Amino acid sequence: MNELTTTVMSNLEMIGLILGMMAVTFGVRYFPFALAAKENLWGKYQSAVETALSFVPVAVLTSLIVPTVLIRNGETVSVSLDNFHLLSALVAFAVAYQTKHMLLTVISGLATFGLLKLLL
Amino acid sequence: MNRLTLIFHGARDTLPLILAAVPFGILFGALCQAFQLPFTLCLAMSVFVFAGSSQFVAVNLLGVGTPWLIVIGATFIVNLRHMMYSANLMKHVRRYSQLQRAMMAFGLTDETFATVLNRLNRNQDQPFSASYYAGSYGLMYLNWIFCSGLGFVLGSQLEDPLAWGLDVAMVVAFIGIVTPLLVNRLMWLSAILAGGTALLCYELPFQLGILVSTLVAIIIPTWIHLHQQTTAPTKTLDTEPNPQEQTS
Repeated sequence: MNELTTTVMSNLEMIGLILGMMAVTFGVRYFPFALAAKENLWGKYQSAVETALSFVPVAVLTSLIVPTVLIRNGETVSVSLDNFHLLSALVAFAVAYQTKHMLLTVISGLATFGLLKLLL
Repeated sequence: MNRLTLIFHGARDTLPLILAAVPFGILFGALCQAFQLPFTLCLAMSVFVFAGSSQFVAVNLLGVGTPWLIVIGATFIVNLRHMMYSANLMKHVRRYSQLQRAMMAFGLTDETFATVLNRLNRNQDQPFSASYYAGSYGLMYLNWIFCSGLGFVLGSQLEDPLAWGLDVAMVVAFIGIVTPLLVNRLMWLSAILAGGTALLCYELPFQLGILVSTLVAIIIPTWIHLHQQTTAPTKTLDTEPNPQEQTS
């Protein structure tokens, strides 16, 4: 790497960076916990909010998975046999769908990726 | 179940996800080293921030000379999704003190959220347990710090850490979390909307696309679900009769 332009920071700035990152991260994680006092916080929207929250894990994690798998080496969607991430993800999905077993899913996905790297 | 058993179970159930987090942590440390950031900054981020994907974004931004105040702003945006996680667990933490809630909030990573939620979904009779939560996040935390440090030390030996494809571990772990949750058509719709919108919005800065796609994938299925309830109040997707269950 010969074109390094890494931000140069004083010690004070580094402390500021860490404290700032810590504050915003902890803040977003803690805010709803801090409010969790009342049984029926959302009033007449309670069931709507609970329904919405039930979609959170699928919505967030799929948003993270799909671009990581499909957009390789730049800006374009890659659907081909050269995309080892995609092949490993498909194997992991098949195993997860059949077994619902976390460890098997992780191992089969990683093994697929390792084998492809090794053999090709 | 006593407290130690619960802590142990929390740690045990998170192990597959921790396995996947090992390369992720090493990759983070190696990137810090490659960008010539100080070792203390690398470790301090893992110890005090403890949020994998935002740490990646931060290091990459610092690596191209971004001012540190902007890095903090980006961290906020990348981690906004965690607010939805804690909102999801809100009703379970009501009986704990604010201090305990704060301690739990600090460790609310994707992995611990998924593990705790999975246990709540699986066993309706087992209530939310702070000890189980602590077991999950304690191991996750120690592993994350250790792997960041290890990655930094190994850094110079891993020539191009990204070329190793270490990020595939995160992908397969998340697939293991999401797949069992796809139990009805609306969940599938949510996943399809999330993936499609995330691809369309990929070019937005600071992973803003992920926030957009998450919101789309929550709002549309929720709207459909509520609409179905008002038009057919006796039948919801979750209570469709399952013929196999009835005959057995």
